[in-house]
Amino acid sequence: MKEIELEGLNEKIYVYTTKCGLKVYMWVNEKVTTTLMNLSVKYGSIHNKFKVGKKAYEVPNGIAHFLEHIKFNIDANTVAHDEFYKLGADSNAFTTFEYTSYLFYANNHLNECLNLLLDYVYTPYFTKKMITKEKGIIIEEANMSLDDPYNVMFFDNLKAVLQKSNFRNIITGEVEDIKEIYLDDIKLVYDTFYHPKNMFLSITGNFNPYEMIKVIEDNLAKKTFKKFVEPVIITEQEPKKVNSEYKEEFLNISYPQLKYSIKIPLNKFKDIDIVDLKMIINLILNINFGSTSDFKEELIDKELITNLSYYVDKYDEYIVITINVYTNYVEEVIKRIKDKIDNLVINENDIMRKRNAEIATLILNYEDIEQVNMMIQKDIINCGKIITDMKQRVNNLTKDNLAKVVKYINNDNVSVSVFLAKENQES
Amino acid sequence: MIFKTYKCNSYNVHTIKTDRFKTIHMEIIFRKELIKEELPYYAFLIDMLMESSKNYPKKRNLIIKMEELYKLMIYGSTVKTGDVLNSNIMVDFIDPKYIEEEGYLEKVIEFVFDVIQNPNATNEEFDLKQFNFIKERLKKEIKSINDNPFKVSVKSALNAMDENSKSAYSLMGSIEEVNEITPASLYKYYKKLFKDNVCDIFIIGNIDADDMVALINKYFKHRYLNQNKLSLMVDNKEKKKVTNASDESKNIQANLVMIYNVNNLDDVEKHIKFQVFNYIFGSGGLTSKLYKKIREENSLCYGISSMFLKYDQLLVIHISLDNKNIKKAISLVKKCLKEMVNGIFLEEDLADAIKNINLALDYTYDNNSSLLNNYVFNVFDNLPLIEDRKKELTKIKKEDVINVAKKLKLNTIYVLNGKDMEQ
Repeated sequence: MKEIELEGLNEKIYVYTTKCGLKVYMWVNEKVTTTLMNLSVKYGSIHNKFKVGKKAYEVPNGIAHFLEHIKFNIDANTVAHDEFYKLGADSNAFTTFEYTSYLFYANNHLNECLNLLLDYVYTPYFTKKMITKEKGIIIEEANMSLDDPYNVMFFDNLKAVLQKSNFRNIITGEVEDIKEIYLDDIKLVYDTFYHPKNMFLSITGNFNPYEMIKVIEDNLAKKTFKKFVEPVIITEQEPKKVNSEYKEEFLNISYPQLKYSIKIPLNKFKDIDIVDLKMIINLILNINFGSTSDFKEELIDKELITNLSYYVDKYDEYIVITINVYTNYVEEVIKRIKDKIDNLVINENDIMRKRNAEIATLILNYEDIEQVNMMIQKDIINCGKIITDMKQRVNNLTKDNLAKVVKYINNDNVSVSVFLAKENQES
Repeated sequence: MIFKTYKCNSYNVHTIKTDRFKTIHMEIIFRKELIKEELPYYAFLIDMLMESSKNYPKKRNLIIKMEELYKLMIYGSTVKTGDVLNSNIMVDFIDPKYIEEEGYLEKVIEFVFDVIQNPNATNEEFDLKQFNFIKERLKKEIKSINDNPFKVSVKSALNAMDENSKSAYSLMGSIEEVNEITPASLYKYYKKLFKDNVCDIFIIGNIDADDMVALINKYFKHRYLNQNKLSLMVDNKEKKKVTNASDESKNIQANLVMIYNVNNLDDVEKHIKFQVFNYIFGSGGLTSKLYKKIREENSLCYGISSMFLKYDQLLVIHISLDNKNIKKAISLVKKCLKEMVNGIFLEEDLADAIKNINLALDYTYDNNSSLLNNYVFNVFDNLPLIEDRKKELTKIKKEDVINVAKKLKLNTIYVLNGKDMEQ
């Protein structure tokens, strides 16, 4: 077992690889009462085309999420939720674009819960009957998300920015996709991706890491895994241009919103890794569009907006920056954002102040078992390893490093989505 | 953990000393009886105080100062707790031992009370520009409630139950009510915040409680004596005939809300036994009776919630589902409750629910604001502390759960129809 020091934070992560190839990451906090364990598979909603050996497959959208739902069935009469419940543990699961995670919280019976987690995730039991039953539930879930305008705006904006990427698709799949999911698809995905070598376990809380490893090794030793043939995800090359430069849409919302998105190819930033890049862009946006910026203050003073926020994400080989604004003055605000993007500033005082604040946040993150578990998951999915030098990276947020990035944030490739109240369309 | 209370004449300070957390969390709570007309004023006021102050006249100035104080967070909200309105100001800041700055704690306390006691006002009127900005934002928030089918349907169901009930009052008021507020009338409520409200301050963290209280006394110049006893419970009357109401919507799904009265609970029932009942019945996630019956056995929906509004003495069940399944869902909810009343659940279900409530209580220990919240209700309503609740849980019998189930009386069934409603 390796102990990885997190530099400058006085924290460490235990890392272990089991004999069958499952990576285990552990963070111990003896002051908490609860432990959280997440068994994650590197298979998410975007992975619907893949190759195993020479054979290529395509499965319906929404299958990762569908599989997550039915994986809880242990056999015809037993559901994993109920078994965890009997142990006094709270179990759940979630599916993201890039991975699927099965988890539980417990304060007692940690070994039994861990065994149960490994047993149910690594024991395939799928029937036509359960798929038919679950379709009704998942269709209701998909309909529920269509009644959430914030979710609709998020995905409709992605559809405006991206032309071909699978990130355009909602995680549950559309109702028509869900109807097209069958037993063979489920079995194919499970057999291809649910192998210890394509998975990782993150444990955070109050436990003995050596004891956990013994439980895991003993459990997995009783299971047989086929030789892992690493699947190759097939992705369509996402074109450089945004899908739509401007669009208006009427939704069940009460106040207009606009999303101003900039799509930048990652290859512009050859010498900067994704962790640093996202941190640098966030800082540039914070200085120029955040609550301490002249820009936001002016828009508020002139009563042009009621709120402004921003976010940065990586989609395939692109970075997408989105500025999200609540406004009744769409045209004027778009013009001002455009001007601001052409005149971004980097101020040394702002950098220093925000850097200190970031370091405080880094320290504070290491008291919450959910937060740390999520940080581990993000590190593994985004970088394939634990990032050990975050504090140093924050200290490296200098004017020079920001300048290397700011020159690529411009109005060359912009998509604007305007969301208006349906009520007004009809009147 | 060491609990202490300091009576400081016009306010009380309640401290929990613990080294479990790297953050110190503080809540300054002003409380008064719930009066409908006052709600939009207090909601507006707390927003106004958190947006700027005399010495930090714009949000930007406030945030810069907060960043200088190592990302201190100060934020506010108003909350209805039964018949009481709480106007809360919360503060989170790093335990000074993690930073090397002389006098950090004093700077924090000085800043917090400076923001609260020096509002952005002149001649007893709030700054017009800031005022107008908050007004627009508040109106947007009021409108935005309509974007959320869950919130709209629960709000409409409470109105259908009894629009004059305090449980149906809107926390932010209506757009028309917000429009009536002026910078001068709002300032009157700023004065009322101190004059008419009872003030309690709660702090949790790795603190020297005596030093902390001395600093608060130094910077908090609150001089009004208000130690009125407030009653939390709203008396929602049972009905002989169930109210049925519905509205149309543009949503895809229908939203079904069923409201039950839960009257005459004693303290142990209110704080402990009803929680166990609801866990088995509907709030215990995928293992509850409602989930099993409505979602797993009949595939009628994805989400169900069963919320106990303790101080409103109501149980509110919400289900989002297809229009065509509404009748079936209503009959299944009734069937599940009947089973609870008839004791059709296992001793094992009871034991499992208690184990899971224990897990949730233990998890409270890992979160400073949850831990503090438990203490707040211990002070305001004698909610037993966590260890005492765990002891009480061990005493609960099946009969206790049946007895509280018998106290439920259906009051209202409300449906916000989806757009594909079958006639």
